[in-house]
Amino acid sequence: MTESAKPAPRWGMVVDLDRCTGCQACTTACQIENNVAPSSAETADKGRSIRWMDQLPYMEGEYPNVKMRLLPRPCMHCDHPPCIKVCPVGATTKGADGIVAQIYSRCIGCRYCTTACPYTVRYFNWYEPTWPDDLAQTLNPDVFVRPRGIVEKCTLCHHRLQNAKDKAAAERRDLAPGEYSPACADICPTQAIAFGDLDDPHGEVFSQSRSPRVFRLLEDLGTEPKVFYLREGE
Amino acid sequence: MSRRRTGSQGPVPSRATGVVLAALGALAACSADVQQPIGYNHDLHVNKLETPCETCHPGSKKGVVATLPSISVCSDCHGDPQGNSPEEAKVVEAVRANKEIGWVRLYELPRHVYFSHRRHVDVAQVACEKCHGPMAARTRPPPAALMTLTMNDCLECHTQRGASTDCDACHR
Repeated sequence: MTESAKPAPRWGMVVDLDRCTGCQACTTACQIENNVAPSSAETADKGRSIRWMDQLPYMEGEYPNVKMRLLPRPCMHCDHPPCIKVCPVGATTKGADGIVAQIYSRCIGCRYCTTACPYTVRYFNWYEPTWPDDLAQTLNPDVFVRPRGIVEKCTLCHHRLQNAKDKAAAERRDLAPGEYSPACADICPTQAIAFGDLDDPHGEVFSQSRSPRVFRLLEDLGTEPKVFYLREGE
Repeated sequence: MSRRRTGSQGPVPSRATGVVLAALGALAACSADVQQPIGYNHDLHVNKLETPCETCHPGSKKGVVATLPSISVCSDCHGDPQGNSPEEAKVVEAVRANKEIGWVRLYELPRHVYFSHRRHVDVAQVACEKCHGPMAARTRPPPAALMTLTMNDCLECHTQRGASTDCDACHR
């Protein structure tokens, strides 16, 4: 149980938009992995659907040569997260490894954080989660089903990190690179989503996050998001 | 329209229930008056016969979940009677019928807590009694969990041992 003397990794993600085909497999994998209930048409109409990994549509080019693109958008796991500052009960925390966590049992559902997050990645559960018959049997036992009245968000599949750390500790070794990655990165058929320790100079995300093609969403806000994008076509 | 229902993780607690669960603790009895199907004698097995805990709870040292013993575990010793106890006779009968004994789980964690036995028992060498109380000394099954832990108990131990106190180290 004693923690290693090594500095904690800083988990982050790089999405290469040159490789992304907009297939939305990441969105689906995330929903299934994290027990995110599918929304009804009525719920979607009210803007109350929950999508931890959403797709932001944007136009590229000028008329008549325009194309519609999709930009995968998980929680940015900011180094300076605005959501933490507004939570009155300490239900949102940032751990040593930089993951912004939501502690469901503390959340009182005030929704300050959903308002404070400039990326709108936080979702309030307006309803009890429900699944069509067959899907209700396939919930992930490692992930808590969030009840009505609390806020939820992308956890970077933190339960996978807990499992990987546990396995590594039992084998008396440090966590190996690539041993932990979220479902969205694992499922991506074009390997557009790279995941790892942003501070590990031998890792893929270290070099990619320093690429000249890199940009981050709403960078000027100073939130220091740990999700990086590589722009296309250069 | 297809029928819809909540997930198979049991009833989804309301927000208020979640808060109460967190306040009540991480490890608690699921019921206050539990009747086990057989009057199992922990003292006889653990202290007198020196059976290690993981013989009957195979995950208690090398797994995430400790698990309750299946009938195949009992059948290793109780294919034939080892003594004259009427309680043992019930075990022998179940073994011969290859019928599971419906042990009732006493210690239950809230679903939003991640706890790994191997991390605590095998890696950190935490004694079973630290969380489960003096179960090994029981000659009859207790009607309730012998200890009720709160999150403060977890934090106290984590702080003393220098283990992570990040919320998401245990919450999920």
